Amino acid sequence: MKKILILLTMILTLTLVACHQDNDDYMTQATIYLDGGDTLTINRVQAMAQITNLNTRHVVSTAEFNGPQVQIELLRGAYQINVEGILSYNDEKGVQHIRSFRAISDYVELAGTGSCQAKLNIIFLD
Amino acid sequence: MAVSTVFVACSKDDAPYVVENGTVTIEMPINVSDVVLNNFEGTATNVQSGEVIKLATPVKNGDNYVITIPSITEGMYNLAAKGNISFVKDGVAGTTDFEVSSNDVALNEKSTTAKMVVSSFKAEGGFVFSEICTTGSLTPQNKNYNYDAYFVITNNSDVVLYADSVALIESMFQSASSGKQDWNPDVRPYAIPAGAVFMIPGSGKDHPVAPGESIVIANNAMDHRTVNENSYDLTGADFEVYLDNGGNSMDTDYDTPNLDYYFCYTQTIWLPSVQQNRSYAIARIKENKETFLANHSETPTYTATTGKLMESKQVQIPNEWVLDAVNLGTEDDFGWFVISETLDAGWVAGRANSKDTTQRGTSIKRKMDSTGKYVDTNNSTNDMEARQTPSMKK
Amino acid sequence: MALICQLLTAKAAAPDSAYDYRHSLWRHTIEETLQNPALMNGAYLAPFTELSLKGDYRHQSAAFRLEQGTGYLMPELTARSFIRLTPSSVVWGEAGYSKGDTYNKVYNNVADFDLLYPDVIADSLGGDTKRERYIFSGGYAAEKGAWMIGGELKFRAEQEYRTYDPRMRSIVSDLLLKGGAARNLGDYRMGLSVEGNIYRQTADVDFYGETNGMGELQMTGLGTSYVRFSGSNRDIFYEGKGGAVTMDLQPVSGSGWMAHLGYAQHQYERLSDEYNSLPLTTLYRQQVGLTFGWKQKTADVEKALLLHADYDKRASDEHVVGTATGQDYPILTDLTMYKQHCWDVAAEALYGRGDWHLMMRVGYLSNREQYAYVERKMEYARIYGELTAQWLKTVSCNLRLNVYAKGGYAGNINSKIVMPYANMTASIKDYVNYTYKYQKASYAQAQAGVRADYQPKLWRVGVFAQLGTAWQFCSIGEHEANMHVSLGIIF
Repeated sequence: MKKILILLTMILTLTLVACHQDNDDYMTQATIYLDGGDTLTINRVQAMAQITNLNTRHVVSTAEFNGPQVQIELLRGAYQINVEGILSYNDEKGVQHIRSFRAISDYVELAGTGSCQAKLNIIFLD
Repeated sequence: MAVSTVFVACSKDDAPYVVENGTVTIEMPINVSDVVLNNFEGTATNVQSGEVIKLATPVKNGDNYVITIPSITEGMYNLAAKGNISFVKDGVAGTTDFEVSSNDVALNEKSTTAKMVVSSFKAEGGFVFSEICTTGSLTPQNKNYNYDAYFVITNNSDVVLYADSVALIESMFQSASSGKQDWNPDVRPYAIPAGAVFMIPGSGKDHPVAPGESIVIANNAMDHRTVNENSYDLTGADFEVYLDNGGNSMDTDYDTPNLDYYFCYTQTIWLPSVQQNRSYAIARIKENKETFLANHSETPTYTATTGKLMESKQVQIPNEWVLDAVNLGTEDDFGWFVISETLDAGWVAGRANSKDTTQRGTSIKRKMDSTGKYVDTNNSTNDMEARQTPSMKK
Repeated sequence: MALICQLLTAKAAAPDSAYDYRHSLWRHTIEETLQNPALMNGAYLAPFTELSLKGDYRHQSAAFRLEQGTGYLMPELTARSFIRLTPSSVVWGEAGYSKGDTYNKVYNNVADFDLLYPDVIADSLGGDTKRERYIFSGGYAAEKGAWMIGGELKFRAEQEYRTYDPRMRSIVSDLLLKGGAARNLGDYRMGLSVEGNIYRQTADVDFYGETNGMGELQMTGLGTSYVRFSGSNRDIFYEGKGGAVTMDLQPVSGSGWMAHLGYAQHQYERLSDEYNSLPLTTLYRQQVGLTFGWKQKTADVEKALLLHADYDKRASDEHVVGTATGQDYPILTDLTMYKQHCWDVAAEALYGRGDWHLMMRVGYLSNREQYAYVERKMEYARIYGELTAQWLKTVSCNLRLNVYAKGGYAGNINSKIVMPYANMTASIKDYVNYTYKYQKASYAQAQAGVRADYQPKLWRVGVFAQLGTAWQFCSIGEHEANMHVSLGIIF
């Protein structure tokens, strides 16, 4: 009887352990950097970043730029990022410029657990 | 497995958190100044309940405008705002409508602020010369007719700009090699040596120009076809030049509103360069006439080969005030840049040589790009084309 | 009226214990254990073969569940057999064919919705469908000393299709293999069985009308859909596999403690034909059932008290797809976006005396669905009670009657919905709100039926006929009517 009880408990624990583990790691803290090249140091960015999830087509937007980067919590996945606005930077001679810009990427993987990054190149519009 | 899920009937939901004094900041563009919010309409829609909350009028806080929401239930909100702002860019006043939105913004205990940015319009471009027509025209008898000059100034930006205090300027010197002299002081690095300055009047917001719209300034706003059937009807011009100098003027004052007469090298009749070898500019005048004449009148001199001291009574327009400038020259004789090359790095060949009369009855026009905007690289060699059909030719 | 008098006053003929054993409510106490093929030796007291033609009809005044339609008409032809090979071994089998119609199914273009939801392909047009189903199964059980072993195979092939746009067509094949063992330990019998399942379904939707092109949605739970692969992606197939384990404890004599524990785990992967067999979602289903009770059977009286606890968890993993290089789509990660937890906890009391049996069941049912991001929730809980009465009357040695009636009520005690309504389209909003309206309603049910078996002594074959009706009334004013008719022979 005892042997059978032990056998039963073993089978039970085995089947419970074989349960499918839910993948609950939904969100990631994404940092998006704007890259203007080596010659310029970005002081301030004033823009709305529109971040579209390529699978769900859900759009999240943020304007909370901290220098050339913005942090936002996103559902892990693949995204299209579109940033358009104005930024102020210092060129290599230290002269300050304020110009309109756009930074787009059609495909960025932001699926890292915990945190992930994306870098976008700046195109000046003027 | 979550065994605790069985007691769902027993658990009670906490009452939703209410965010007190949450803020929504509307950031104004940093590349313009003196931003004033004229009217504003904003809403916050709760994504789950569909409740729409009207946002209060924003209050200016530094360079931005802040909306305070006294109390709002926590949740995800779709924010939308639209309105109208006035601003000043490069000295020129402008206004534009704006519309911004941000979806799924979380407002809760941890996140009580939201930000939206107004930067989606382009105030770049501003006023530019889209056409310069100074060649005069030929009568049917092949005689010269020089009274029908006109200039077209277009708003090449995406916002409404005000033309008040924008002045039409003709350079004092001409670009042929014979005009090149060692003037002292040589003010070109910081100012335009100007021979004629006529300013669009107004108190600041009297003459709005919508994006893509133009202002026509005529030397004489009459129907020249009555005198020369090859000429143009300029009665529809927005402004005309009238030498209002009391007495000596031989100019005729037609019905069209006059530009304010600031300075002209001649007292009688002004004829813009038929030879097309002077430079033209538009600039935003920042002082009234008396102050301007007091501060910006100069008389540079040079010593001629004969030993005589030559002088040029002129006014000078600071380069920072200049909105657009176009150098004109004769194709086989471009001697020097009569204004700073930073204002216009190239020049347009008006006539082939000093004997050429084939350019009469044509005008110089600015090229347009594929988006419908005028090309403005500050280099007339690239940007302008000569020998075009005048737009006023009917 | 006269018939009833005759029934009531007729001399009590000798009850057919094999018949009673097959049809009595008391069978409820061993039904769960018969999932173990090794325990089938004692399933019936006498061998039998039954051929029947039956028909089921359901009509709802408004669909209680949009995806399942407003009703169906399913005639079926079945043959069932239980044969004793030797005193210690039995074989049993079943074969069936049914062909019928389902009415007004919306937001569901697959067969086996109950198995595969929420991972279905769907559109808001829907319509009537035609269904065709073949089943066959067979099993064998044998006893040797204190040990019993058994095996069973079940196969189902099904086709469901629609003859007008949107033309859905689903083909299902479902194979189940079971093996079990049991051993007598003193007064008790202990059984253990394992089963494995392989499942396949192809689901296509076509449009023949040139103006009728419509996007199909790949649903992912609570009104959400996999937007990127919805639209023109209309051909999908499912690959499923799973298994289950059951453990049973039964008193050998029929009186004593009893217990049943079952655990099943299945997964169903939804793949897209048009994207190089790209897996879009995988549904994981875990079911745990526990029954524990006590029963006592004497010559006249049967008593049982059972406690049930059933837990059903459904989780749907979305495969987050990256950008394709050529025909290959990389899967970046899997996220369990949809979860459903179902609990059913109940107590049953059974009492039988002579021809009469009464069963009462009181329980608590809770269903919680959630979608992770953007957050969606739908929950409800009910308390329910049911009372079933059965009268097994042996009218004469030729004629036996099985009369039954049931009444019940399930009252809603808790409900909750959280939806990002501002970001939902109008049609999905209506769909979700309609579903929730019926989930948080309360339901009253009433059922009644009679089966008559007639076999004179001289006949080698008996005939039977059954007529039943069941009704459900929803607190928001709609109702459901069911009819069941069957005719057959038994020998």
